[in-house]
Amino acid sequence: MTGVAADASCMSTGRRRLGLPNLGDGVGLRDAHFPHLLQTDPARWGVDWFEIISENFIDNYGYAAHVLDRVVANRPVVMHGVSLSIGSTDPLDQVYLRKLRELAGRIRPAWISDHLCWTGVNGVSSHDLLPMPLTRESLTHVAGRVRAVQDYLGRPLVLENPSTYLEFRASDIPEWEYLGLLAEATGCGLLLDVNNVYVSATNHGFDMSTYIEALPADNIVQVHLAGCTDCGTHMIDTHNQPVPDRVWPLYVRVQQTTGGVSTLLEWDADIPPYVDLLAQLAKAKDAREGRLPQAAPPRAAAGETISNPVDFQLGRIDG
Amino acid sequence: MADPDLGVLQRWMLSAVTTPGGVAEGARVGRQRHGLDVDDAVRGSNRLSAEDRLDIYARGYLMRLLECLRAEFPILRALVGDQVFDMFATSYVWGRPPRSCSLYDLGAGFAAFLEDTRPPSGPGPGSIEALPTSLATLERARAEVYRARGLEKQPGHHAAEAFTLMISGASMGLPDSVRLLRLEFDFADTIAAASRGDRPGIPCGAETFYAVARSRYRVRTHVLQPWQFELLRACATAGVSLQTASERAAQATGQKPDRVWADLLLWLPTALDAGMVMMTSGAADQRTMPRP
Repeated sequence: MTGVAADASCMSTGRRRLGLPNLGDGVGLRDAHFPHLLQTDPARWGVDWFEIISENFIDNYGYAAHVLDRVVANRPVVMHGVSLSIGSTDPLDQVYLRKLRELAGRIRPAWISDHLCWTGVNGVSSHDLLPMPLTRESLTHVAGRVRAVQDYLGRPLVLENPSTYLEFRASDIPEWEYLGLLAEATGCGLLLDVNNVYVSATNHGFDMSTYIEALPADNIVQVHLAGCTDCGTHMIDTHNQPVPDRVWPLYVRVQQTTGGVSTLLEWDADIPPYVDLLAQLAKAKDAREGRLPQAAPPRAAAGETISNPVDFQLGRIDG
Repeated sequence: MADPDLGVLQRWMLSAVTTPGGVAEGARVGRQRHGLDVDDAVRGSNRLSAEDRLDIYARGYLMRLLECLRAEFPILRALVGDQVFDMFATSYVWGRPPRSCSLYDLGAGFAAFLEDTRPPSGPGPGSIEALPTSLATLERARAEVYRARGLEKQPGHHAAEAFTLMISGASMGLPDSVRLLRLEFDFADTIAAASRGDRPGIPCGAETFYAVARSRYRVRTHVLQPWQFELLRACATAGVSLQTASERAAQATGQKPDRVWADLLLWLPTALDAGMVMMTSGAADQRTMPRP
């Protein structure tokens, strides 16, 4: 396979941070769009890059791998994981790490990201992005594991701020400060999900601007945009609707403080047609150029909602 | 009270979130096992109590895993209905919490769980109590085949090669993207109804042989004749020729070898086109023609 992902020189449109380029505007690679991507000339895909959920392609040699081969041959790809469990007190999962490294060797991603979270302990996985107690103790623990993962992968790890719904009483470091200290201690990159900032700020009552301004801008290598759901008493990160109105100013501010970083639109439930996804992504360019998109507040929940959704590729088996 | 350390908080939260019965029961178990009350561990607010916040994760845990099982077992869900399926799935998630970091592994033990927890069957095969296990076994096979290494990028597995393979004595094998199953029900109409979006009827209880196979990235479920099933089973043995495989199939099904060989001549193009069998690189036994 001929990868183009690591060819930074032709893609970079701004400052390189941690040696990583600004890839431009991308979307998550989701199976709902596989037929469109196979049937359409890559020149008309309408995006600069794709982000994959790493776990959907580990140990997967079927249709998804076939599509990924075509995507990697034509666009840069970033691997975004949900199972690293960097904050867990369980040992790092060596089998998972090996498979992650093997996939990276095959598709040559521009970078590899995951979340500041833990997913399980005592060998049980919740398959959720669970919140960290934000303490000195946990910071030391996470920093050691980030270093170990970076050594193993031979590249900086990029960590995303998760949406959270609870705070531990033990926490005594604000999340933005924690991420900054972690980046300083390990040299890791940050994936700033501005929708997650909005969700967590709503749920915990902190100031969004304080969060954005306090992060070390030079370590931010990517921004996530997504939609969330208003549950009345709280906000849930559902990735099932357009980017809400209050997130766009945060996005613009991040682009200003960083001098321009890669933008990725996530949509993991009620996934729209590809053309509608592109229309939503185009709003990011408008925002950067000073035309703040017309957007609505998050829609209210219509039923049970799932936090931190993960796209799961098993819905298209037929015959 | 001193702050609990990271490990204690994580074990406590996982107990609270994953305990069967929901967050109230989870909080009780968490207190019992780790000596922590919800309000001691988690900050509440005017809008959401500490337990409400924990409940978001507890609900999300169950719903996320149910969504995955619904995606992997859509035919069983269509057959038994949403309510019964969710009861099966909830019992499974609470009874056997996931231990793999891959959601793909979640469904691996579902059929065995249904088998372990089902009521005793009536006499004979095809009892209604065995139906969920059988269908879950079939659907798990389809999920495995969907992701397995297939033949799509390997040349030389076309129907046109069939005659050459039969006379050449080539070594045969099963692709990774094939599962052979012997089940107590004929699910052909069930699968067809589910793929049309209809609610399937109860399938006939009848021992049925299946090959789940992938061709051109499409997963198909093929109902096989017993000799076809035995022949493919024989091909799963490394280095076997079609001649030897057909002899084994004849022996296993009580048919005459030349009859099986003749039927194979007609069926092999279909089997190759469906990705059910492949030529392997290893040496086969040396016989190249059928025995008289």
